[in-house]
Amino acid sequence: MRKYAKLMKTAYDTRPPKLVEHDLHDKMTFAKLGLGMKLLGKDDMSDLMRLILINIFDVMKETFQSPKLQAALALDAVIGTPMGPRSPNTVFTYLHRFMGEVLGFEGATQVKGGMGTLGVALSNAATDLGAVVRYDTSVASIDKTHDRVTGVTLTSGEQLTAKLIVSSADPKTTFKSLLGYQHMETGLARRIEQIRFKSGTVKVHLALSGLPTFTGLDPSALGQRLVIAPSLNALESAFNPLKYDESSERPVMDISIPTIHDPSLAPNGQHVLSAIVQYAPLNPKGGWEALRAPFMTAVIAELTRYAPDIASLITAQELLTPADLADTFGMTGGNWHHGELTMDQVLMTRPATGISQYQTGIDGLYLCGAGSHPGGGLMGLAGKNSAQEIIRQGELA
Amino acid sequence: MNLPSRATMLLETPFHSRVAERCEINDWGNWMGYTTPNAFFDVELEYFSIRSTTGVFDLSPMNKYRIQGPDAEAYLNRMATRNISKIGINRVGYTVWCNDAGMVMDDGTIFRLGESDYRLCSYQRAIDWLLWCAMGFDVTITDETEDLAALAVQGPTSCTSLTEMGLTDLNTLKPFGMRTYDFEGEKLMVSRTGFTGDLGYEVWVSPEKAETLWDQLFDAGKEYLIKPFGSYALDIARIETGFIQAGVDFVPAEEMVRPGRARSPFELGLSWLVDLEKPLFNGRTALLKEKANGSRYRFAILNVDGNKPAEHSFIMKGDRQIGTVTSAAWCPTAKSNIAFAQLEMPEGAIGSEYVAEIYYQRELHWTRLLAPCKVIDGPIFNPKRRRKTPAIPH
Repeated sequence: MRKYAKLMKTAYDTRPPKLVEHDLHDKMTFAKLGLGMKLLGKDDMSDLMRLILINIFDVMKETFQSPKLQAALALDAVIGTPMGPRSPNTVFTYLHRFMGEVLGFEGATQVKGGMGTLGVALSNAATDLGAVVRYDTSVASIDKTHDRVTGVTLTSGEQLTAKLIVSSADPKTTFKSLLGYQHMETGLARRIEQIRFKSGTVKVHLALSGLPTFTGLDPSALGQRLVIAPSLNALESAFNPLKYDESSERPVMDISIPTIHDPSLAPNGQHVLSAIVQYAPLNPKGGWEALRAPFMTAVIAELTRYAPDIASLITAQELLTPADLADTFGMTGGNWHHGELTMDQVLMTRPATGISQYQTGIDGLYLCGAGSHPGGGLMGLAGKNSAQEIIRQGELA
Repeated sequence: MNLPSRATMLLETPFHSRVAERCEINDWGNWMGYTTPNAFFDVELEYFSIRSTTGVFDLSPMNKYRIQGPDAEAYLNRMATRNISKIGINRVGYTVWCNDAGMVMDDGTIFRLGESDYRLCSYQRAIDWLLWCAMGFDVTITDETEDLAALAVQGPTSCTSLTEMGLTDLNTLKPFGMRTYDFEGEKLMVSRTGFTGDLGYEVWVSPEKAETLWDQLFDAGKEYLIKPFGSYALDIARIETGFIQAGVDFVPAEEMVRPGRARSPFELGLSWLVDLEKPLFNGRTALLKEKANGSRYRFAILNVDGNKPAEHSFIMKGDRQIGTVTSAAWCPTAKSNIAFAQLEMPEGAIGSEYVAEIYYQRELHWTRLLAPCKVIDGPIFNPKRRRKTPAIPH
């Protein structure tokens, strides 16, 4: 898997090559990919061809015997997706998760001071380089004349002119909400509309008065990733209801207690538990208002099976549903990859065919977010590749 | 009409009882899922009803879509290549529409029924594309194909026949104009449009009134030698007058299987329908590029020597094949052998002379005929009566 992930990094590191009309840079990318494939050797190469389109369930079954290990690894393949372990594409999503290791991050990793500080750090770096960052400001629309963008209009009504606009919003937000489908040709609008944005992921935050006791777990291990995924079938059973816009009765989850590594995140002696929980739909039957409390109860019940004292430690709780994630962070469908990460939505088809190299078909408008190649996961590669592409375009941009 | 026959059940049009009664030779074809006559009694005589008296064609299978709402005009301007804003109320405009690659998907007519109320008639089923196009616009799109029955009433005595039926002052209706009459307690719409290049009208009623319309029209037109005609006669008339047909003279772009087989409006001789001044329409970017870089093909009308229709012929320049024929017919009124061809650029300038390599079979014996041909400037048949207002009485 590591070998395959390394090969994937070759493609991740630069703009996705075009299949037709490719230039020298694209030819180099193909050559590197081809060479990488070749260097895998015949057996590994044919195994990659076999593996990439099957599912993580089969791969785990043929590789490991321990149901717990099978499930723990398979959870990585489905986390953040609307897929179960038997869904096709899950080997690819597993490789994508592996990218962190290829890029040099191993074990539990977190941003000191919380995820928000990453944004602050980036913003500070930009400011140091002379950029002006405006906070609490939302863009209402991207303005254009004929084929060229001219600037943006803010929700305050203020208009800013610009020759170049780079959007980190997901492609559907960028094209549908900010630009408007009526302002582009139908084929492009259709391709954007067809991008799949489903999610099955919920975020749960618990404020705890003290550290919970997980049965059979040494307290020294609480700083690691804690996974509740008892078996592959338990994962699949948790996934089943999502197909019908229903939520798991027994959700599976990936838990971290960031206050162990960074006590500054909570008042003295107290802790924060953060869990990525699978599966709950964007629009459940009956709406989220009806499901919110029962689903939270199901999550706590599942946690209690492993940490019997946890309920008594909770001082505050927060449930971010896919709908909340969509509304709060402007992610269409609540999908944290800004578009499902599946074989049909990667490389030259991410976000959609014809607009794959961070360009949009509309002069002066570029994409740089997770909706572009190579997708999300806090890699920053989409942004880096996009910036390089804009620089490469130079005056044309 | 050149569709392969498929083993599917065909629908009947609202005129079927009357059409079947008149279809003496029982020669039926599949037009967009409807059973329609290829010929009623004699193709040539049917053709001459269009050119000499009044010919009637059941147009009901034509796909009809209603486009309504505050954004209807903006919607159509984005979809079609033409400037729709120039079509006044109670006027009709012919247009094509393209995909993003600037390739023609279909052609059709747009009827402006009101301020923000249009009807689009298309050759292809188009509802899915029309709905995709509607994203971002405040419009409603309704498929009215089955809600309207229509007859094309074409030929020099067509105005008189229809006036006789009770459409008073019809002769004052201008080409591409439309008008509504009371008819049997309902509304009848008539437009001065057609696919024959002659004086002619299209009459639109509810399916319930279809048979009544047919009966009254044939009664009124009796003295004016009114006759029904089928798709074979129509084909001759449209070739004679230079009208291309989707699925015959070009492959609808979104149905194309092999790369490069679709054609742009420029390549079909329809540049007059493309308004590049419009800020946005489907295919604009690609068409601007084509205009700058040149087209791959040119549409040409060829006058072919002899009387053997140059169907499916190769067009040769010396030993080199420079194009193929998409439609061909011996045109009786113009007394010319006409062919539509797709020629490789830069061939096809007016007056250029080539050779049509015509293949035909006689008793299992294939014969090759080399017929000289010449590119002509516009359609061979284009009578004054087609445009004259008031229409010439008979």
